[in-house]
This record gives sequence, structure tokens and C-alpha cells, in this order.
Amino acid sequence: MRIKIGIPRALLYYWYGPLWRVFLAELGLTPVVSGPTGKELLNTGVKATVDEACLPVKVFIGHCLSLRAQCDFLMVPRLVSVNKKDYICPKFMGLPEMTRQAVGDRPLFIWKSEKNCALGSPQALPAVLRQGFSARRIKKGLQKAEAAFRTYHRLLQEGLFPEEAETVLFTGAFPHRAEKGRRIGLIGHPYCLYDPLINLGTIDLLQRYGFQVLAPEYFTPRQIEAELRLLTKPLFWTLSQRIVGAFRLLCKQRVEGIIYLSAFACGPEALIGELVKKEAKVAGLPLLQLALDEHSGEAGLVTRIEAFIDLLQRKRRLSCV
Amino acid sequence: MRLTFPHMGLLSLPVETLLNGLGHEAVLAPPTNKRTFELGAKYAPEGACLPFKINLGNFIEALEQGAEGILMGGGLGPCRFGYYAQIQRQILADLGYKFQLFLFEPLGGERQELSRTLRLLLGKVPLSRAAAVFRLAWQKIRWIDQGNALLRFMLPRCIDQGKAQRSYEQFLAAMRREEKMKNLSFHYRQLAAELRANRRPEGEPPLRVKLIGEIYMVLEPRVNFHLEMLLGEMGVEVVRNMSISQWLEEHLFGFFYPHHRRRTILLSEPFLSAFVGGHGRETIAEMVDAGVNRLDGVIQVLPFTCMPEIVAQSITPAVSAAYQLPILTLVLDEHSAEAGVRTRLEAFVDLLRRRRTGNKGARRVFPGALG
Repeated sequence: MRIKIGIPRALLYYWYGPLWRVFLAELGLTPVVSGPTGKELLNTGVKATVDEACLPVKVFIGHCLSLRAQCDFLMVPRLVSVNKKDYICPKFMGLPEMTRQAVGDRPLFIWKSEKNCALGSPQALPAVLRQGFSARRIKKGLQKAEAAFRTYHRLLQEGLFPEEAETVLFTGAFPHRAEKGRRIGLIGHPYCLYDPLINLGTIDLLQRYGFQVLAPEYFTPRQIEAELRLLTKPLFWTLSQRIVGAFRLLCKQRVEGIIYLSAFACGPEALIGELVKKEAKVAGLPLLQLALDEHSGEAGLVTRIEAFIDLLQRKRRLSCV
Repeated sequence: MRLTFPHMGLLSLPVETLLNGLGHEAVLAPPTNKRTFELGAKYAPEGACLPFKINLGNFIEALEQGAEGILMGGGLGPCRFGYYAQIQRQILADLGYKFQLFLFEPLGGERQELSRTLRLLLGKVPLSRAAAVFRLAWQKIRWIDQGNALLRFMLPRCIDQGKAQRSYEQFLAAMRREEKMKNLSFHYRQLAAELRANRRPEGEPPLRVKLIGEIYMVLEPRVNFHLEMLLGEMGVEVVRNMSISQWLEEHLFGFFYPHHRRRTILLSEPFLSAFVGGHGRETIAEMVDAGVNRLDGVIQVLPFTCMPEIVAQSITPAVSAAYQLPILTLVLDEHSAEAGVRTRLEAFVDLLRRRRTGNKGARRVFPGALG
């Protein structure tokens, strides 16, 4: 019987999902990815976590709980830092412990990434895997996984969203995309932007209104790094760096407006939001900042986004005259 | 230069000595008060943590009093404190204040900022004098922390608690004025003598509760509603390892005091095996320490949205279950009110008392009733 490994479709799955999936499949294990976030899943997650945790963490725990019955091991990343000199977020550093608290005694696969141990290196793997498979096989698997990871990110940079990119990667079917003239920026953490329940269908809504949505994953890390040189002090959160960098690039690309989806009680965003707000004011770019939590209703969000779109339209009309 | 700095518990005493001794003028922000809260909450980003808001309020009030420069700490993350100063500078500049910002960045970070700060601080006096002032400030904070620990021990064992608190206030005032190193211990001995005279005959030992959590919230009595005094008045001895001198030993002079870090790692390993930023790991370590030493309870204080402490808070149930240790988590922000905190503390202390008496009915024992 093949061993099943559960991968929660939450947090940085939207960056590293294909890497994990391809690698585990390559070793002959069966990766089981949890389904898209649903209302029930969120509720179980909210119940099992402390109230103060942010929404994405609650969603992650919900995914873990939903996977509990379907897999032998649960894969939980401990992403301390993926770049030199900066961190992801304290909650990612303590994620395995938080998960263990909620899930109980289910064995965890902790895939870590630290300053002296990058995500793609054999040292980062769970010790069980390193003992169970030959070094050569692991190396080969990692190579394949990294190739998949690079392809995936190239697809994201071409403007696909994670779900589409994953379909392309695993089935090869390229989605049909009509080029649209009007562009709107959407910034935020990847797990806020792409999770269908957390973002409450924002991307679909914007696309229905005829916008081409540009997200931070549209830009290469190098482009973003170039933008960050102007900061007075380097930011030490990778995800926030991407938000600020992407915001500046979007300003340069002359998008019509920017929507910033942030999670309520997200630590770094409380400070970064202030930076972004100030820069948007200076640049004269319309910015809509939305804080999301488990009580956000779709209707409220849709109303605000529609109002924002109306505003953009009016601005456009006035500038045409 | 007229310099100011944020308040954090007793930090203002040694820093004032230091700045004045180095030939600058220390401009103390008024002690954190209602207006500080209001200013901070008004101008700070909504989701920022409470220390950010209070620091900002302190800065505004100090700048109104004519400060020209701000001294502030830095950091390398992942705790938000490392980026406080940058955002605060932007907010204060937007409000139209003119000032210079001097940052204490750790060695691994922005060296230029650190050297700029040190040049400013050490520029006015010869190095030998500066060294003497540093020693005086260091000794001062150590004696003050010692006095504070003594008060926490004696408060539940006093006949007249008001008098004990007054002696402590006098001790602090004397320490603030003191400029001679050899007199520091004299003030401490005086406090000890006064408290000893006030001590009541030993009866049932008081409950011992450990205070842990985010360092600012633990150390700043004006923000945590004078938790230590409240508990002391309820007849509870407050134990806490965290103090300014301990923090300095661990972070500034960590090379000379390696045992602090080793202890933290050793104690927290079974429950939290990774660094999570801020004081997350220390919180778990202290919690385990309280469990091992059979303390009666633990109170964790954290500002709302504090990331490292939330990680620690999620692990709390495991520690609590492993050591049969009651833990109360207080999450505070600018909307917290004293009445709410006091009620929860009273309920918690009641629970601890009942637990100690072995759950023999709801007998309420108050320190006053024992005579």
C-alpha cells in the first residue's frame, strides 16, 4: 500500500505546492492535497485555534483537520526564512507546534526552510524521508521538483493564477484567456489573494467586470528586489517585501487602481499597510484596503469593490474629458 | 542635544542618568497616561500592537516638550519591533514634527545607524567618563530591579501595603537622583529595612504566580494596569524573571551571560523547538519553569496581534496539561479597561486559592481575614 501524505492547500501552498507534490510523487508516495477551502472547513479551523490567530492560520488548521482521516502523515512546513536576511512570519515558524496542538498525535512531516538550510536542500526534508530513501533518489526527486517549481512560477509570472497554473503543470491544458485592456492591481499575501474563501471571490468579480488582474506573483523576484533598494531600512519579511515591491511596480505600470487584501490581525501588514497607503497618496493612485477575517461577508465586500470600480470609472471619464 | 526615548517600566531611570552623564539633556516624556493612549491610537495604524501606539504617544508628548532627538531600538525581525522606528518616523514627519532619529541597531543589521548613534552619544565627553557613566547606569538598573523584586516578594507579606508601596516610591525617587555608585546599595538596604519592619508574622504562605509574556506589557505597569500591585494587594506573590537588567544581560552582554539563552532553549525544547521571534520562546520556557518549580499559576500578558506570543499562546494548553498548571492569558489593547482585568484576576486568584485548599468547598480566604 502506498503511503499517503496530506498537504494542506493553505498558506504558502500557493507558492510551493507543486514542489511538494512533485517531490513526494517522485519518491513513490501519494500526495493528498486538501480540497478548496469551504465554510465548514473554516469553522472547524476557527474552533481549533486560539482566537487571536489570523484567518490564514485558522484556515490552515482547518485544512489539516479535514485531511486527518485521509492520510497517514500530515506535511507541515516550518518556513523560517526562504531568503537570506529575512523571515516569513513568526506564525510560520511555530506552525508545526500550533498544528500539533490542534490535530493531536497525528505524525507530522516537518519540511523546514531556515537561513542555513534552503527549502530545496536535502537537509530541509523531514528526517524520516532522509532515512527511508537513498540520497541519490532524493537528489533526483528534488531536481525534478525544483524544475516543476520553476515552471510553475514562470506560469504565474505570465499572469496565470495558481489554480490555473497547477492545472497546466499537471495536465498540460492551457486555459483560454482573452486579453483585456483595463488593468487593476491586487496585492496582498498569496494565501489571502488566491484562497477562494478568504478572498470571497474578489478575483472572479474583477474579471467579470472586465479587468485584467495583476498580482504580486506576476513580477519576478529580481524586479521586486530592484524596487526595494529605496527603502530606508530593508524589510525583514519576505512576503511584505513582495507587497511593497509589487505595489511600486504596479504604480509604474499605470494600473487603474490597486486593491489591497489584508488579513485582520496580520502583524507585518499593520505596518506595511501604512507604508503603502502613504505611497499611494503621494502617487495619486486609488487604493482600496480591505481587512478580511472569518466574519467577512461576501455582500459587504462586493459592495465595496463595486463602489471602488465606480470610482475608477468616474476618474477615467473625468480624465478623458 | 535634547534627547527623548520611549518609556518601558523602570527604563527611564538608568537612561536618564546615562544621557545626562554623557552631556546631553534627557527629555522625559510624561509618564504614560490617558492622553498617550489617545494620541497613539489616533495616529498609529489600527492593527499595530499596543507598544507601537504607546511609544508613538510618548514621542509626541516628548516632542511637544521640546525634544530634538529620539533614541529608539531596532531589530532584525521577525518581531515587528525592528520596523517600529521607520514607521513612527514617517508618521511623526507627516504630523509636522522636526526631529532626528537615532537607532540602536543590533550588530548584524545596519551598522551605520548604530555607529551614528554611538558617535552622538559618546561625542561630548572623554571615553573614561563615558565608561564610568555606563557603569553607573548599569549598576543602577540592577539595584532597581533588585528592589522591585524585593517589593514583589514582600507586598503580600506586609502589614500595611500602602506603606510598603510608599517606601518603594521613595526608593525609586532616591535612585533617580543618586549619582554615586557606592550609595546605590545604601538605598536598597534602606528599602529592605523599611519593608522588613513592615512584615507581618508568617502565616500560610501566599500564592505564587509567575508573570510572563511580551516584555513591554510585562514591564510597563501603566499599560498592564499595575498587574503586580493588583496581585500583591490580593495577597499573591508575583514571580517574574523578566526585567530590564535580565534583558540587557541576555541581549547586549549575551557573550558574558550565555546561560540565559541555554536555559531558554533547554526548557522550551519539548514544546517549542524553534525560535519564533520576540519573546515567544522565552514565554514557553518560563511557563515550563513555573511548572517545574510547582508555582501556583501563570499569567501571560500580551498585546493584541502580537505574533510571537500568539504562537506561544497556542502551545499554552500543552504546557498547562503537562504540569497541571493554571494559566491565564490576558490580551490587552487600548480598549482594555481596568475593571475587566481586575475581575479576571480576582476570578483567577479565587481559582488558585480553591485549588490550593484541595477543592474543599468554596472557602474564600482573604489575606485581611488571617490577621
